[in-house]
Amino acid sequence: MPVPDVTQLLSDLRAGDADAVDAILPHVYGELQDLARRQLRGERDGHTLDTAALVHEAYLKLVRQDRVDWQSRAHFLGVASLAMRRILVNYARKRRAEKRGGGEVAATYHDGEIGKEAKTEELLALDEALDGLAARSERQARVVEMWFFGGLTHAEIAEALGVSEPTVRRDWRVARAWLSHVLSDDGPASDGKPGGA
Amino acid sequence: MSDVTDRWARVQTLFEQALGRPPDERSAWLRAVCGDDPEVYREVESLLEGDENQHTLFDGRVADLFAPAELDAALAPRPGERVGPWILGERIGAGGMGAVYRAERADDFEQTAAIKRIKPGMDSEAVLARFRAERQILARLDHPGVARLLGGGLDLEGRPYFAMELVEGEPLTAHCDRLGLSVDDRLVLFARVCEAVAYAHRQLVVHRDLKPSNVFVTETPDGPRVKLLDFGIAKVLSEDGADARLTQTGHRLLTPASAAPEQIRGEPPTTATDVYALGGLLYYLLCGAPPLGPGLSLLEVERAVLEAEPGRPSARVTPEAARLRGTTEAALVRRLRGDLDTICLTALRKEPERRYGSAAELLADVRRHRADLPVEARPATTRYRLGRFVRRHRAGVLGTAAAVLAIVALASFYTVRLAAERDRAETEAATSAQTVEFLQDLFEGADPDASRGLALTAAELLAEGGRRIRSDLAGQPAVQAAMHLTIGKVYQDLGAYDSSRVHLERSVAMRSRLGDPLATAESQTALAFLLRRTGEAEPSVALHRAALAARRSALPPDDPLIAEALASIGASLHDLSRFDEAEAAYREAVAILEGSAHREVYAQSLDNLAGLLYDRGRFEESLALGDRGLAIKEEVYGPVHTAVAVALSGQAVALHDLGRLEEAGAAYRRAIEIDRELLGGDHPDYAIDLNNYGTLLYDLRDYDEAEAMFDEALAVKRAALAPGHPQVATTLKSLGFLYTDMGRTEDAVRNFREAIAIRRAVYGDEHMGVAEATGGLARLYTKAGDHARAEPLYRETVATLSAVLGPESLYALLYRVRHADALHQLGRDREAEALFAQAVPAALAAAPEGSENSGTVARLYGRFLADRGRCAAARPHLQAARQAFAALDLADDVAEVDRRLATCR
Repeated sequence: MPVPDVTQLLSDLRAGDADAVDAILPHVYGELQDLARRQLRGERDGHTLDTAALVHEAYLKLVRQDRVDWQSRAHFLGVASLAMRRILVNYARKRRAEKRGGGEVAATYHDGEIGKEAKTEELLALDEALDGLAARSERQARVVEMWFFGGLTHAEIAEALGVSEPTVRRDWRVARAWLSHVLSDDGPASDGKPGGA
Repeated sequence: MSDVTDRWARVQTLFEQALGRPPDERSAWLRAVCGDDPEVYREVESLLEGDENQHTLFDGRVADLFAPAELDAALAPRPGERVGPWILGERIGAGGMGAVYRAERADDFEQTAAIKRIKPGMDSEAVLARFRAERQILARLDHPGVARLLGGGLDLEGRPYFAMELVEGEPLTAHCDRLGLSVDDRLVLFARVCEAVAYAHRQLVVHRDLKPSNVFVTETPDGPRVKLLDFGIAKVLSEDGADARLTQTGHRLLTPASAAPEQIRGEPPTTATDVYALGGLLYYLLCGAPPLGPGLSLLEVERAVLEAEPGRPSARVTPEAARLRGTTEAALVRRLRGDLDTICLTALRKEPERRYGSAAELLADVRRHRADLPVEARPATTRYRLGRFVRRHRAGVLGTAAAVLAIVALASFYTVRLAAERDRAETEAATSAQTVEFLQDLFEGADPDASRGLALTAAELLAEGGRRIRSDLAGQPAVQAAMHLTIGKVYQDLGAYDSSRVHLERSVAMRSRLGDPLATAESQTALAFLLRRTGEAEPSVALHRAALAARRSALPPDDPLIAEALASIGASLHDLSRFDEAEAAYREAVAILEGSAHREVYAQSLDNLAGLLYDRGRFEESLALGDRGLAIKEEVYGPVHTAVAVALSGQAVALHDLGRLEEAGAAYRRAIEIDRELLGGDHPDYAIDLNNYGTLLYDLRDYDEAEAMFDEALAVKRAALAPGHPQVATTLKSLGFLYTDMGRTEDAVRNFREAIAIRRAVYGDEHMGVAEATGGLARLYTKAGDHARAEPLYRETVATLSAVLGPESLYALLYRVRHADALHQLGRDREAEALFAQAVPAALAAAPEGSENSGTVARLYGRFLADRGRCAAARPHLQAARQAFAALDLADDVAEVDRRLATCR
């Protein structure tokens, strides 16, 4: 895959070209994984990958620092948060398929070190609920994505979305309330509608 | 704004306002403001509740859902294990010694495959040999109904693997039931299965494990297509001593329909074994039940397969079966009764010789039934069938006749040889007389003029012969051993190495039990030749040495049989590149034969020695010996004889490589003349000489003539050889280079690609021939300016050459330089620079000064430096390149270098 000019795509994105996200995303996705692999190789033991650190490093690696402003940085971090969401959700889906399919588990995921099971079902439920939230408020879903998956600060999220920090905090609180209800046992997560009839 | 977002905005506002009030007043306030809309009220209430009882998810961030190690696994998935050009995905099947994985190509080619590899720890010599044999079998099978072999080689740990077409679909039986196909539709699909099996039988391949899970249906744009899977797995499993394990676990025998009685008895399988399995499959397709069972224990299954006669399918019909076939119970019974019952039960007979002789015959009856013709199934001996088969196809092809004649010729040769041996003349005469009688008996009814379905007939004859050695020759072990040898040799000539091995090993074992060292040596020699052909050079040498020892203790020291053993040892050592030992063995053989009456054997030994010396780079010596061999052959055989043609081609190639092009041309033309006269214009050897002469013309830049030679060579090879034969690839590759130089890019790409595919399938990924073709294609892309395509091919070529010849070999270095150039053309100058720096000095040291290769290295590196603006460094390289090209009269290259020099002052 040819390396896209991420810097250029970011300015397209700012100029309102929504397709630019699709062009950047696969690249950022791969870059996050490469960075993660590289970090794992570098560390001897006691390491833990840090999602937020990865997202920020991907930015330093992919975007030409002499040609960007603070808004592009925020945009990039937003895209990287989306990529992080996809990576982890895809992983969770594979785990679920392995458990349900009863088929051979892909060798890639045989890992003796894995002690406790990931809470993959919760992750997948959140992913689904986020889509329900996005139907109500796209921006609030992005806030959750950037905060939860990208590990961004409220200030960074505000920059990325071009809103004030208090707005981000308000969005976060209502989104968290709605998601908490949907994800709780009595919330009908399937249609994403709290309360129900 | 949509309704949903509007509503949500209102909910959010109310939520925030409610939060501003004391908790115990919120409900009442909310109910008051939402009086008109209970839905909104409930929704805000839920939000308040959610705010109160935050989900534990939001105590942290996503990383907290994972244990540290699992987060690592999620974020940094280890890329699937790499095997050759493939990346392994999930495991899709496993057997006793191997496993099958889904895989995707690691490079830009979008292709999926099923990769079969040996499990760690299972790689004993015997298993490895079987594995290679399976791959060779698959390489011969090219049929839409057979999952194709795509390639293979060694993985990073040196274990062999091969890649097959990945078949996505479902077993035929499940497919028919899922779609509720009618009996007629099922017969159409079953006929496709028979066609594929019949094709395999024509290639002398017996599947031996045609259980329902190995017969798949895959959806294609042209409708459903049947695919046979796992060719030869059963073979591999049953001949490495794994049968016992399998029986214990019941892995195969638990499917009663798939094991034939002779398999349970441990007898060698034949085409009739597959017919039995097809019978079981048809049985199930028709009535929905397996022939024997279900629900039997392992022991009961074995006994049932051996003893119980299956009931007629029409008597096994159930209402459910009828429903799945879109009909009523009574109608289905009527449909099956008669022909279809008979066809099934004929295929399922206990005695192999009373079944249909092959899948083709079964197919013919199915077709007759569908065309409302009377079916042929009836009690009959295989010999009757063979005779009838041959009569039916009287119009046939030369091949059958050739195969039959080969058997007869071998038998006669054997007779003569035996008769000539001292001290045992009488016994042996009796033995040989019986051998001939046995063969005549076997071939009675086989019309040597018959031609069509010829390979099938030959296979049938051999299979039948093999079967009857035990019964017809019982109590005559010497004759049995002789017949095993004969049949083994014929199988070997036909390229059916697995079958050949079974007979030859048996022959060796029987003769060594009989305590006849010279006869044992003869069988050992034949087995050793086979092992050399299957690439098992070490065991081959060992067997030849054993034969040599036996002959040395029983025969005079200058006996030609001792020379034969020595020459054979030399050939196997030559294969192993153990040149010193090989040369010593060859020379000893030559010394024994020199001055003996065996002039032709002597001449052949000289040829062998010449070939070895050629490989060692001692060209002049090689040519001198070759000339001596050629002179003797001309003296013994006269000027027009195939042996003379063989010697002439050898000399021509040597002269060609030494640059003595005119002499080479004359030798090629003579060889071609002899081939055409004696072998005819459709013989592969003729095509080989045409091809080689074509390369000479190509080197002389006579492109039109070269093209004519290659075209004819290719047509002959395609007609005479199996589709995936490496000889076909040789000519395709030659055409690729020719078209490259002629500027016919598309033609060149097409030819290279086919050549690469064939060579991968035959040799695996790590082979000179593969590198030659990938390298040729890469250079073609470079020439066409398509550097993005060229770059990965260069990388691949370098890897292959480094593995085969060593990373410091001239060719690996040259391609590394070309790779660097491709990176440069792609603007990846840092990588290019690193690669140039690493490869250029070594390449210039390895390439002869002033050669075209050294000129190319200097030109590419000089150009890189010039492009980077480093003219002072570039100039000496460009000048060296210019000098080399000018001395070689390569005007175009000189002109290009001059242009570079002009811009770099």
